[in-house]
Amino acid sequence: MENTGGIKDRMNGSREKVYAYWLDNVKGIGRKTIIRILEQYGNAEKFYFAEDDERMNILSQKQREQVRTSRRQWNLYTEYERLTMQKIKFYHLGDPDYPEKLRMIPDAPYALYVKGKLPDHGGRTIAVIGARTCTEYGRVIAGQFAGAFADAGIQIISGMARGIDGISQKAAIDHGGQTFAVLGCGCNICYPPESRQLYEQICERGGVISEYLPDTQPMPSLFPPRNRIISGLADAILVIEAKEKSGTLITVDMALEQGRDIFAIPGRVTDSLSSGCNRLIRQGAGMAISPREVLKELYGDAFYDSESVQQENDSGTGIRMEHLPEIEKTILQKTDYVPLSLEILLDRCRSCVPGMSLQQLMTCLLSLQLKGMIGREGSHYFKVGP
Amino acid sequence: MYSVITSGAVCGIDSYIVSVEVDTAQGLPGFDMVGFLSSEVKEARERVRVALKNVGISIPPLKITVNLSPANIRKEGSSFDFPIAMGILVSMGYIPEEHVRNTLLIGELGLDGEVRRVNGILPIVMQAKKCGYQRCLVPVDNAKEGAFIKEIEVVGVDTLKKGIEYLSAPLEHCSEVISPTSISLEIYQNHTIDEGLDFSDINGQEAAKRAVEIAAAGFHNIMLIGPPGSGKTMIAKRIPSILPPLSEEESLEVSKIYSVAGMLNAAESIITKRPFLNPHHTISEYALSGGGRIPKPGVMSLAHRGVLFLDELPEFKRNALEIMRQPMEDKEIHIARSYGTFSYPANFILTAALNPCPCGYYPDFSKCNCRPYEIRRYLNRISGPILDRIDLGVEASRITITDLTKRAKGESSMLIRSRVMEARERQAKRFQGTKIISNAEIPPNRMHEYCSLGREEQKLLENIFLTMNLSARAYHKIIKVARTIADLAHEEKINMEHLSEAVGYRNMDGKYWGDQR
Repeated sequence: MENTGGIKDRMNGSREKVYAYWLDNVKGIGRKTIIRILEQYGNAEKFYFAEDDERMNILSQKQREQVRTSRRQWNLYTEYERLTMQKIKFYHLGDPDYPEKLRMIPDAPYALYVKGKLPDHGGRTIAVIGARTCTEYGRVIAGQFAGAFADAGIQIISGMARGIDGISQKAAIDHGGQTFAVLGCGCNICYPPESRQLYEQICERGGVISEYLPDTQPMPSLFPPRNRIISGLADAILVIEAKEKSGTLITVDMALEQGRDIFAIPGRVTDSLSSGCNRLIRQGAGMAISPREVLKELYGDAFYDSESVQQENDSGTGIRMEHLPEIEKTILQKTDYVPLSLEILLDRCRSCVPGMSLQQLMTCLLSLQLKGMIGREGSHYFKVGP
Repeated sequence: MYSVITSGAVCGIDSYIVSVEVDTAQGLPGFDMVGFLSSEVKEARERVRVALKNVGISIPPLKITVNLSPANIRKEGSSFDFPIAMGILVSMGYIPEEHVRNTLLIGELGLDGEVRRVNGILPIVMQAKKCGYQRCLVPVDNAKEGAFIKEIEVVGVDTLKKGIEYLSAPLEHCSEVISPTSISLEIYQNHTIDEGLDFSDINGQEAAKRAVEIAAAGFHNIMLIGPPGSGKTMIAKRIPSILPPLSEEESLEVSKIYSVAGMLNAAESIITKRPFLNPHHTISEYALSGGGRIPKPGVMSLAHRGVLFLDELPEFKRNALEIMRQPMEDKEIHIARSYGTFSYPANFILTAALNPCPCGYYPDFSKCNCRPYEIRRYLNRISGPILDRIDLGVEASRITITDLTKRAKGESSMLIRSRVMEARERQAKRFQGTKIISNAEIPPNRMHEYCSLGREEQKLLENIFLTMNLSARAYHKIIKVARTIADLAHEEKINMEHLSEAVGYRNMDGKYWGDQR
């Protein structure tokens, strides 16, 4: 129920936005200082009109100087207008539209800049994250899980990075779902640049979110802090593939601090890209065996019957394999999501079919490749699809 | 008095006949040389005068004029000393004029009258034979090199004095002064099999070895990709051991290049082994192509009919690699200079070795930490057109401890070579009467003739062409490689298996590994 008070509030809200935007733009004033200011003044507008002497208690000499300069040079409404012209939405901590989940985390960002929109209030969100250099296994699993989540109406949060992040967000879009990318640069900058298409799609079908001012260039130091937003926006984190020391695990640490659920895709102990995940499971993270089970564990049995989540793996390899000649079946069984060299494949196949020649193997591999069941990277072959 | 002596000079890889005209006349004493000469040719004046003096002939005060004709080509080098000295003697009447008729003279003179070796004897003697000359007087050090040309008498002269003696003697008796040099070809052909490097030294690496065998059989370019220490270099260095020996014709062709480059010596007067060149990656583009005002053959030409091995391909200068584009297509290199355009043959097996990524372990993620863009940047140093010109690409996998300890010894080079030679024989039969020697040289317009495909094979290839996004050149290369694979299998028709294997060796097409799919 909205009443006139609500409208008034919103008008006040938009006025406050203009001041909050100014505050976020003052050089030399960081998140911590802003929190102190808010404690003292309640909102940015009051701080703007406060007497310079008053500010002495909370600001250093230099900061006060910065505020004075900024107040002189900053044209409140023109600047804010310019922001809206770029179709960038601005949310500050005191904003009623500011995501509730994020507000709760210990070091919630003061400002959020958004191209597109924010995740729906009260909507279900899962962050799907993982390594940038991923294996075919990770690729397949990321697509599968993110796709299934999207089918179930879950909003996918990730970082739009190369590898798992991008793949899962792409899958979410392909399945008609909503997905949100949290960037380590200004939200109007597409990073990595080759993901341009994905960036546009996310802007349209979800949102690109950043706590940094627009036009902030990507810098290595900016990426770790954004991870807290990824986990902060999500109900749970699903880790697809991660090495033992990786940026992905930074996100997991943050998520733990924020009290989020962690799920990880188990992998073989020999795969270095699964070592991080396996360790997480060892430490008590949920083992993600299927999207359905993850959803069930997170949101209860209500999801169990959800139509779209029903269909899983079954339609996969079994049927496709039936039509294959015996020898191709054998070879397919010997391949893996990890690219294997001809040499190793030959060795493996010979254990089943003694005396298999290199030519025979290559003929079958090509045939499988043309059927789309095997991928190739140089002279390394790997299994494709489920 | 006036005299004419025939000599020769090289221009690029080819040679031409030079007439050395000498006139001695009464008048103000002097020694003039004309005929578009470089300074080292003009210096012949002093060498000739002193050499003649030192063999006991003093030149009377005469006006001596020397002209080297044709006068429109610039002459270089010191090889005209000997003919000039003889020309003076003929024109002064020391040596009867008919004794130098039909004879080609060449050589540098030392002040003591020694006749010293010069470069390019082989092509010059070839040219002399072509122009109908009957004998050549060459420095004794070059004699064996010249003697490789049959049906022309090659006489090795060690000193000016001996040369004078030889030419003064009556024609029927001159062979008693110096007997013409002859060589027996068997001697050279016998020691062609190289000892030492053998394929049996390599454990495992079946795919790489197979690819190399195909490359050797069809003279295809090959690229070996693999982690450090997987034996890429070892394999590459053993390629000559499975190549068929140089035929006489090929040997002559190669020796000609080495002769021009001045890389033949008395001990190795003719090239009988397939060249194997292994330039360091700091090589300049001119060293690769051939450089200089009058260009000398570069590494690419020196590797003619042999192997040019470029280890760590991405480390080579981009310019240097780009230079190889056209020669790899035309099998010869054209170098344009202000003096004209020079062509050198450059038909080699390009063997390249490289790591798959900067650290060398991709796609082994337990070891490789390279970022995708790092890999791309590394591989981007090799341009697409160069990759396109490589017929076979194969990855040498990491050697496991079982490979090193348990495996039986690999096949010996002898065995592989015998298969290669059989395949070569099939090719020789196929290309009889054409200029083509190997499958790799089949021009696109003759593809139908030599590499006809059945309906089913055609369909497979079309399918591959679309899915792998190949260039037209790559398409032809696949067929040519399949042709060689069929030859190795003693089959006249290219079948599905041959084609599939050939496709399996094209791993450099389309996207680079490490790209997001």
